[in-house]
Amino acid sequence: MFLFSLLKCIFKPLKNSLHWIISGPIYKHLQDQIVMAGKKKNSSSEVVRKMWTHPWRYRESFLVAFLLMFAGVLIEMFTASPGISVPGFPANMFAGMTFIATLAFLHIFYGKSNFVKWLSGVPAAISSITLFSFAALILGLLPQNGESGSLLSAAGFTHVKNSWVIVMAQIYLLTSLGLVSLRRSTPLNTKNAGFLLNHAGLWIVIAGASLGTGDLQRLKMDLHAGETIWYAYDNQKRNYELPFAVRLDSFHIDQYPPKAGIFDGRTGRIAEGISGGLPHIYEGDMFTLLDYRITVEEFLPSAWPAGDGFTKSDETGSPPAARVTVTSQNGRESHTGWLSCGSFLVNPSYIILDNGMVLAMTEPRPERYRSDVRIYTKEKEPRDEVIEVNAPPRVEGWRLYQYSYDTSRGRWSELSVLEIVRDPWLPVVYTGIMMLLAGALYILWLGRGIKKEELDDNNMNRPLSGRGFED
Amino acid sequence: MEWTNFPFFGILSSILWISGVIIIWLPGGGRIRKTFFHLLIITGIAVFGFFLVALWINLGRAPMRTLGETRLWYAFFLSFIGYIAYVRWRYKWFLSYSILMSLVFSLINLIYPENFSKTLVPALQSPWFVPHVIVYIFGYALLGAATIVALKGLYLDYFHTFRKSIMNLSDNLVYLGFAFLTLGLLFGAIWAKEAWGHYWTWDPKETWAFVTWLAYLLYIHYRHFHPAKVRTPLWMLGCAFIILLVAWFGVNYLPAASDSIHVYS
Ligand code: HEM
Repeated sequence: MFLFSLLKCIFKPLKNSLHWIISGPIYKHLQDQIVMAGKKKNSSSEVVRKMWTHPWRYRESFLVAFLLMFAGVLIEMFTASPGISVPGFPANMFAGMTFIATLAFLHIFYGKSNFVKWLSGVPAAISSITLFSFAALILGLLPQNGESGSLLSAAGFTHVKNSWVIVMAQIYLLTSLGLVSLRRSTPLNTKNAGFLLNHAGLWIVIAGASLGTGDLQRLKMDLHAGETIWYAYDNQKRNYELPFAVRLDSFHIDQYPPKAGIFDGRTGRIAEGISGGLPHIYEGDMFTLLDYRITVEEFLPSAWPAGDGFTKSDETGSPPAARVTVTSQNGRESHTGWLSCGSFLVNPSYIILDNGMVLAMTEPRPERYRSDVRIYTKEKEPRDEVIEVNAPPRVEGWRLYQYSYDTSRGRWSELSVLEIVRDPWLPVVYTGIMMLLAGALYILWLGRGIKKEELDDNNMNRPLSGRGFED
Repeated sequence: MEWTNFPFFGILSSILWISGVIIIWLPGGGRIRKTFFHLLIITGIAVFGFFLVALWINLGRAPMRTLGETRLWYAFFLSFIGYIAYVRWRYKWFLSYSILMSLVFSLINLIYPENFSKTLVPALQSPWFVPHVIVYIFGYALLGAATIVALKGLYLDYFHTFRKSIMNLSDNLVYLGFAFLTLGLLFGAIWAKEAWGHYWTWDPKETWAFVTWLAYLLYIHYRHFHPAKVRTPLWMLGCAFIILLVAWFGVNYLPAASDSIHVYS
């Protein structure tokens, strides 16, 4: 209650000036100027409705959406830099608070006005969701390479993510969604709580994610084995000092066993007629490929060439190798020899078959990437961490992701590239996500809330009338 | 159990399902015939389910990595949903069309057998992988079922024999399907944060999944506001399903997808 009167105090002066915009001369002018032609529909009972007379419906709502998009394109065209970048803390937080305050203001003082009623109603919701979908569709259809020079890029369509069009779409959507959330926040019964989980939850996710981009940092760190690094770089290769340091102790790749395949010696492509994927190579295994029976006599996961074959070895750059026997089904052809996919130090070895085909070993697929690191912070003792895909450790508000390595050396890479991410708005977004999850469960639980009898055809077989877009 | 066994199980299920559907359409109805019908459909679903589980065990990973593997789940869920809807509401036509869709998806897998592979790239080795895909494909199956209802509705509407129960069925399917879509989207976001550093990157697959979600959101709100309207929401469902299909299969072929991380291998 106290909060309420406080808000009233702050908003009173604002209210008077805003009143002018909402029900003032401009608005009246619009109302007089644009006259709708009236419905061409058959029904004579329908009244001819002037456009912009309340209640606003789809025609007005979609026109507003279109004008907003148009405004977005214009701003995009007449501003120097392509798109906008969200400001960082604290400006983004103030922007968010101002927006919330404005919505609260509108809700408290103009909740009963036609304008706010329209903004928090379904036609405005539908037109704003449509505008947002439209922006997302462009994003999903056109390559987002941010190239400039074309008309599309001038309108912001090659960088929709941070274009003015999507800003406009978001403001419209968040206004509508925010106002309906406020309207339905009282009384707080079960139905409205379910409603709020979905609507307020989505509001928090979209607002939090958008404003959060201003503080989101995604940097890369190149770690060479044994070196201690305390800085990271961004896409433009600018360096940033970090509140912690990382030393790479070792980098590992665990691999799946390699596979055997028959390839066309001329094209290097997999031989025609092999279906169902290639078999893994395990010692003692037997399998058929095309017309050949292949037996794996011996398999060395890590081997070095010696004489005609390979011996076990733990040297850097030792590839896997297998001694196999190949026999054609008709028994006419038989070879025994070594297969190896090779490495950056060792040439591959394969068996040439009679018809220009080649039996070879494929590069093993990675199963796990792992960086063993030691992390130093100013206050705490150094600690050892393992960084793997899907398991990023947290350090001083940053999360450390396994990102890349020296692919030319593969398993023996001495380099591990980390992506490090700081996203202080994550708790906000996750709050919204949790609400949405609960909201989805609420929908699953209640469904549409239709009782059983209603679903029965016998109770409900009256044909319906009234079809079309407008009421 | 491997992909090479699919023809046997796929065809066996198909035969069981087709026989079941033929039986419910035959005139007259005795107790024995009804039991027989349930037995055929359930066995068909069980055979298909058995193949999925056995494939899972044999591969040592969830069979959800490739498009073909997701089609298997789709066929499975759709027949399942069709059967449940029949048990609950006695819609013969709905069961028949769901089964037909299952057959089409199985057929695609028969014509284009998958390359089976036991390997799973590290990014997919996450506790979120299975719930994310299962929930999504289940949502897709429900929304596919809603599309069947919409087509039926448009057909009836054309011949002026529309019944309100059609709208109720499609609403229920969309609400359930939409809730599953929401779960799938959010699980995906949480997983992406763990695996790729950010929960949302406007990757083409993400973008299309989001547009699909918005399209069904439009339907839900339009229906809520205009409970008596029929034709517009039914067309909305049709369009939404096309967007869904793009999100599922089409993204791989879009110009915007050249650098997607989500394109199925
Ligand atoms: C998570 C996403 C959403 C879900 C699950 C959802 C679900 C629903 C449902 C089930 C209803 C009708 C039931 C009721 O009144 O309790 C509804 C109403 C409504 N929704 Fe949403 N919605 C979502 C997003 C949105 C968005 C993005 C907007 C606006 C931009 C919006 C605006 C509205 C409006 C204006 C109503 C009418 C409420 C009233 O008049 O009281 N919704 N929504």
